[in-house]
Amino acid sequence: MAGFCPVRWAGHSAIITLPAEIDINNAGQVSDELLRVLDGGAQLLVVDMIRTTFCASDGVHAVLRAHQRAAAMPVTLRLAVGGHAVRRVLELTGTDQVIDTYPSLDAALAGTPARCDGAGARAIEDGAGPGQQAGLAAGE
Amino acid sequence: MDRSPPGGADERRQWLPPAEMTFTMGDLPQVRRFTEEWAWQAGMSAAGATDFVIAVNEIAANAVRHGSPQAALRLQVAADSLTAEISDNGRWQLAMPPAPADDGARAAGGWMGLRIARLACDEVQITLGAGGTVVLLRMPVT
Repeated sequence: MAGFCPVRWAGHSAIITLPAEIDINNAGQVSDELLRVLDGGAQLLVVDMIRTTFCASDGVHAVLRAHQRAAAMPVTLRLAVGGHAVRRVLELTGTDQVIDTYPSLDAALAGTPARCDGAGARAIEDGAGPGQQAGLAAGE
Repeated sequence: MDRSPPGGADERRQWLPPAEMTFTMGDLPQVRRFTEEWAWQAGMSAAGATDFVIAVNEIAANAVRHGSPQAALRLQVAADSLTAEISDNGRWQLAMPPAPADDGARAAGGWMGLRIARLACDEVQITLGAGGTVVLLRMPVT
Protein backbone atom coordinates (compact mmCIF):
# COMPACT_ATOMS: atom_id res chain seq x y z
CA MET A 1 0.00 0.00 0.00
CA ALA A 2 2.00 2.97 -1.28
CA GLY A 3 1.68 6.42 0.24
CA PHE A 4 1.02 5.44 3.83
CA CYS A 5 4.35 7.01 4.77
CA PRO A 6 5.07 10.01 2.51
CA VAL A 7 8.46 9.96 0.81
CA ARG A 8 10.35 12.98 -0.48
CA TRP A 9 13.42 12.71 -2.69
CA ALA A 10 16.32 15.07 -3.28
CA GLY A 11 18.78 13.42 -5.62
CA HIS A 12 19.79 10.15 -3.99
CA SER A 13 18.54 11.22 -0.56
CA ALA A 14 15.11 10.25 0.63
CA ILE A 15 13.07 11.32 3.62
CA ILE A 16 10.29 8.99 4.72
CA THR A 17 7.82 10.40 7.23
CA LEU A 18 6.42 7.91 9.71
CA PRO A 19 2.93 8.12 11.26
CA ALA A 20 2.13 10.03 14.43
CA GLU A 21 1.71 6.78 16.36
CA ILE A 22 3.23 3.42 15.53
CA ASP A 23 2.03 0.26 17.23
CA ILE A 24 1.14 -3.30 16.34
CA ASN A 25 -1.75 -2.07 14.20
CA ASN A 26 0.35 -0.25 11.62
CA ALA A 27 3.96 -1.35 12.19
CA GLY A 28 3.73 -3.93 9.41
CA GLN A 29 2.81 -1.26 6.87
CA VAL A 30 5.56 0.99 8.16
CA SER A 31 8.07 -1.83 7.80
CA ASP A 32 6.94 -2.58 4.25
CA GLU A 33 7.27 1.05 3.23
CA LEU A 34 10.69 1.45 4.82
CA LEU A 35 11.97 -1.55 2.89
CA ARG A 36 10.31 -0.31 -0.31
CA VAL A 37 12.01 3.07 -0.17
CA LEU A 38 15.35 1.36 0.48
CA ASP A 39 14.79 -0.64 -2.68
CA GLY A 40 14.17 2.63 -4.51
CA GLY A 41 17.87 3.50 -4.80
CA ALA A 42 18.39 5.93 -1.93
CA GLN A 43 21.99 6.42 -0.79
CA LEU A 44 20.81 8.27 2.30
CA LEU A 45 17.49 7.52 3.96
CA VAL A 46 16.29 9.80 6.71
CA VAL A 47 13.51 8.26 8.75
CA ASP A 48 11.47 11.25 9.85
CA MET A 49 9.91 10.62 13.26
CA ILE A 50 9.85 14.29 14.23
CA ARG A 51 6.06 14.32 14.45
CA THR A 52 5.82 10.77 15.76
CA THR A 53 4.53 11.02 19.31
CA PHE A 54 4.52 7.32 20.14
CA CYS A 55 6.41 4.28 18.92
CA ALA A 56 5.81 0.82 20.38
CA SER A 57 8.30 -2.06 20.21
CA ASP A 58 6.67 -3.12 16.93
CA GLY A 59 7.75 0.21 15.43
CA VAL A 60 11.24 -0.18 16.84
CA HIS A 61 11.39 -3.59 15.18
CA ALA A 62 10.40 -2.06 11.83
CA VAL A 63 13.10 0.58 12.10
CA LEU A 64 15.73 -1.94 13.20
CA ARG A 65 14.84 -4.18 10.28
CA ALA A 66 15.26 -1.25 7.89
CA HIS A 67 18.58 -0.43 9.55
CA GLN A 68 19.80 -3.99 9.06
CA ARG A 69 18.76 -3.96 5.40
CA ALA A 70 20.34 -0.53 4.85
CA ALA A 71 23.63 -1.63 6.41
CA ALA A 72 23.79 -4.60 4.05
CA MET A 73 23.12 -2.62 0.87
CA PRO A 74 24.84 -0.31 1.99
CA VAL A 75 22.66 2.74 2.48
CA THR A 76 23.10 5.35 5.20
CA LEU A 77 20.04 5.36 7.43
CA ARG A 78 19.46 8.04 10.02
CA LEU A 79 16.59 8.75 12.40
CA ALA A 80 15.18 12.19 13.10
CA VAL A 81 13.33 12.04 16.39
CA GLY A 82 11.40 14.80 18.14
CA GLY A 83 9.04 13.42 20.77
CA HIS A 84 10.00 12.40 24.29
CA ALA A 85 8.14 9.09 24.24
CA VAL A 86 9.89 8.01 21.05
CA ARG A 87 13.31 9.02 22.36
CA ARG A 88 12.54 7.11 25.54
CA VAL A 89 11.63 3.89 23.73
CA LEU A 90 14.76 4.14 21.60
CA GLU A 91 16.75 4.58 24.80
CA LEU A 92 15.06 1.69 26.63
CA THR A 93 15.71 -0.66 23.71
CA GLY A 94 19.26 0.56 23.09
CA THR A 95 18.27 1.47 19.55
CA ASP A 96 19.76 4.94 19.94
CA GLN A 97 23.15 3.26 20.31
CA VAL A 98 22.69 1.28 17.12
CA ILE A 99 21.12 3.79 14.73
CA ASP A 100 22.39 7.36 14.24
CA THR A 101 19.70 9.56 15.72
CA TYR A 102 19.25 13.31 15.33
CA PRO A 103 17.00 15.90 16.96
CA SER A 104 15.90 17.54 13.71
CA LEU A 105 15.46 16.82 10.02
CA ASP A 106 18.18 19.31 9.11
CA ALA A 107 20.63 17.65 11.46
CA ALA A 108 19.76 14.21 10.09
CA LEU A 109 20.22 15.35 6.49
CA ALA A 110 23.53 16.99 7.29
CA GLY A 111 24.69 14.18 9.53
CA THR A 112 25.80 16.63 12.22
CA PRO A 113 25.82 16.73 15.14
CA ALA A 114 25.42 13.03 15.84
CA ARG A 115 23.67 12.07 19.07
CA CYS A 116 24.84 8.53 19.51
CA ASP A 117 28.16 6.71 19.52
CA GLY A 118 27.60 5.15 16.13
CA ALA A 119 29.34 5.47 12.78
CA GLY A 120 27.86 8.95 12.35
CA ALA A 121 29.94 10.30 15.21
CA ARG A 122 33.14 8.80 13.84
CA ALA A 123 32.40 10.19 10.39
CA ILE A 124 32.00 13.68 11.81
CA GLU A 125 35.32 13.48 13.57
CA ASP A 126 36.86 12.57 10.22
CA GLY A 127 35.27 15.66 8.72
CA ALA A 128 33.15 13.71 6.23
CA GLY A 129 29.97 15.20 4.69
CA PRO A 130 26.79 13.26 3.99
CA GLY A 131 27.95 11.93 0.62
CA GLN A 132 31.21 10.69 2.04
CA GLN A 133 29.44 9.21 5.04
CA ALA A 134 27.72 6.77 2.73
CA GLY A 135 31.17 5.74 1.56
CA LEU A 136 32.41 5.35 5.10
CA ALA A 137 29.44 3.16 5.94
CA ALA A 138 30.28 1.04 2.93
CA GLY A 139 33.85 0.69 4.10
CA GLU A 140 33.02 -0.52 7.61
CA MET B 1 1.06 20.48 34.72
CA ASP B 2 -0.21 20.85 38.28
CA ARG B 3 2.37 22.54 40.51
CA SER B 4 0.55 22.16 43.85
CA PRO B 5 2.64 21.18 46.90
CA PRO B 6 3.26 17.41 47.24
CA GLY B 7 0.91 17.06 50.20
CA GLY B 8 -2.02 18.33 48.16
CA ALA B 9 -1.26 16.06 45.23
CA ASP B 10 -0.94 13.02 47.51
CA GLU B 11 -4.33 13.72 49.03
CA ARG B 12 -5.95 14.13 45.63
CA ARG B 13 -4.37 10.87 44.46
CA GLN B 14 -5.83 8.85 47.34
CA TRP B 15 -9.30 9.91 46.28
CA LEU B 16 -8.78 9.00 42.63
CA PRO B 17 -11.02 6.03 41.87
CA PRO B 18 -9.73 3.08 39.85
CA ALA B 19 -10.29 3.36 36.12
CA GLU B 20 -11.16 0.41 33.91
CA MET B 21 -11.59 -0.26 30.24
CA THR B 22 -11.78 -3.28 27.97
CA PHE B 23 -10.00 -3.24 24.66
CA THR B 24 -9.16 -5.10 21.48
CA MET B 25 -6.05 -4.68 19.35
CA GLY B 26 -7.52 -1.76 17.44
CA ASP B 27 -8.21 0.09 20.69
CA LEU B 28 -4.56 0.38 21.73
CA PRO B 29 -4.38 4.11 20.88
CA GLN B 30 -7.32 4.67 23.24
CA VAL B 31 -5.65 2.52 25.89
CA ARG B 32 -2.64 4.82 25.71
CA ARG B 33 -4.69 8.02 25.96
CA PHE B 34 -6.80 6.57 28.79
CA THR B 35 -3.67 5.60 30.72
CA GLU B 36 -1.90 8.91 30.13
CA GLU B 37 -4.89 10.98 31.24
CA TRP B 38 -5.31 8.91 34.39
CA ALA B 39 -1.59 9.05 35.21
CA TRP B 40 -1.66 12.85 34.98
CA GLN B 41 -4.72 12.96 37.23
CA ALA B 42 -2.81 10.79 39.67
CA GLY B 43 -0.02 13.36 39.77
CA MET B 44 2.57 11.48 37.74
CA SER B 45 5.22 13.66 36.09
CA ALA B 46 5.34 13.87 32.31
CA ALA B 47 8.37 11.56 32.18
CA GLY B 48 6.80 9.07 34.58
CA ALA B 49 3.53 9.08 32.68
CA THR B 50 5.42 8.44 29.43
CA ASP B 51 7.16 5.40 30.91
CA PHE B 52 3.88 4.15 32.36
CA VAL B 53 2.06 4.48 29.03
CA ILE B 54 4.92 2.79 27.19
CA ALA B 55 4.82 -0.17 29.58
CA VAL B 56 1.03 -0.48 29.61
CA ASN B 57 0.92 -0.41 25.82
CA GLU B 58 3.48 -3.19 25.48
CA ILE B 59 1.70 -5.48 27.92
CA ALA B 60 -1.71 -4.64 26.49
CA ALA B 61 -0.47 -5.43 22.98
CA ASN B 62 0.88 -8.78 24.15
CA ALA B 63 -2.43 -9.56 25.84
CA VAL B 64 -4.47 -9.12 22.66
CA ARG B 65 -1.81 -10.52 20.38
CA HIS B 66 -1.16 -13.74 22.28
CA GLY B 67 -3.82 -13.95 24.98
CA SER B 68 -7.34 -13.25 23.84
CA PRO B 69 -8.95 -10.89 21.31
CA GLN B 70 -10.36 -8.79 24.12
CA ALA B 71 -8.54 -7.85 27.30
CA ALA B 72 -9.10 -5.56 30.26
CA LEU B 73 -7.12 -2.76 31.87
CA ARG B 74 -7.54 -1.60 35.44
CA LEU B 75 -5.60 1.42 36.73
CA GLN B 76 -5.35 1.93 40.45
CA VAL B 77 -3.58 4.05 43.02
CA ALA B 78 -1.44 2.21 45.58
CA ALA B 79 0.49 3.84 48.44
CA ASP B 80 3.20 5.71 46.53
CA SER B 81 2.69 4.10 43.19
CA LEU B 82 0.30 3.55 40.37
CA THR B 83 -0.61 0.08 39.20
CA ALA B 84 -1.94 -1.21 35.93
CA GLU B 85 -3.50 -4.63 35.76
CA ILE B 86 -3.93 -6.11 32.30
CA SER B 87 -6.07 -9.24 32.16
CA ASP B 88 -6.86 -11.50 29.27
CA ASN B 89 -8.54 -14.89 28.86
CA GLY B 90 -5.53 -16.66 27.40
CA ARG B 91 -2.27 -18.01 28.58
CA TRP B 92 -0.05 -15.73 26.58
CA GLN B 93 3.17 -16.37 28.31
CA LEU B 94 2.91 -19.92 27.13
CA ALA B 95 1.65 -18.87 23.69
CA MET B 96 4.64 -16.66 22.99
CA PRO B 97 7.44 -18.36 21.10
CA PRO B 98 10.66 -18.97 23.04
CA ALA B 99 12.84 -15.87 23.41
CA PRO B 100 15.07 -15.78 20.36
CA ALA B 101 18.68 -14.67 20.51
CA ASP B 102 18.22 -12.16 17.69
CA ASP B 103 17.13 -8.73 18.88
CA GLY B 104 15.12 -8.15 15.74
CA ALA B 105 13.10 -11.29 16.24
CA ARG B 106 12.53 -10.48 19.90
CA ALA B 107 10.27 -7.59 19.03
CA ALA B 108 8.14 -9.68 16.71
CA GLY B 109 7.44 -12.24 19.39
CA GLY B 110 6.53 -9.74 22.05
CA TRP B 111 9.71 -10.22 24.06
CA MET B 112 11.05 -6.72 23.37
CA GLY B 113 7.82 -5.33 24.79
CA LEU B 114 8.15 -7.34 27.96
CA ARG B 115 11.73 -6.20 28.38
CA ILE B 116 10.69 -2.58 27.89
CA ALA B 117 8.00 -2.96 30.56
CA ARG B 118 10.49 -4.46 33.01
CA LEU B 119 12.92 -1.57 32.41
CA ALA B 120 10.24 1.09 32.73
CA CYS B 121 8.44 -0.26 35.81
CA ASP B 122 9.47 -1.13 39.35
CA GLU B 123 7.48 -4.31 39.24
CA VAL B 124 6.06 -6.58 36.56
CA GLN B 125 4.17 -9.53 37.91
CA ILE B 126 2.67 -12.12 35.58
CA THR B 127 0.08 -14.47 37.01
CA LEU B 128 -1.26 -17.41 35.03
CA GLY B 129 -4.62 -18.53 36.34
CA ALA B 130 -7.41 -20.83 35.26
CA GLY B 131 -9.25 -17.92 33.66
CA GLY B 132 -6.31 -16.39 31.92
CA THR B 133 -3.32 -14.16 32.42
CA VAL B 134 -3.02 -11.11 34.65
CA VAL B 135 -0.06 -8.79 34.42
CA LEU B 136 0.48 -6.26 37.19
CA LEU B 137 2.68 -3.24 36.50
CA ARG B 138 3.73 -0.97 39.31
CA MET B 139 5.37 2.41 38.96
CA PRO B 140 6.26 4.87 41.68
CA VAL B 141 4.63 8.25 41.40
CA THR B 142 7.49 10.55 40.40
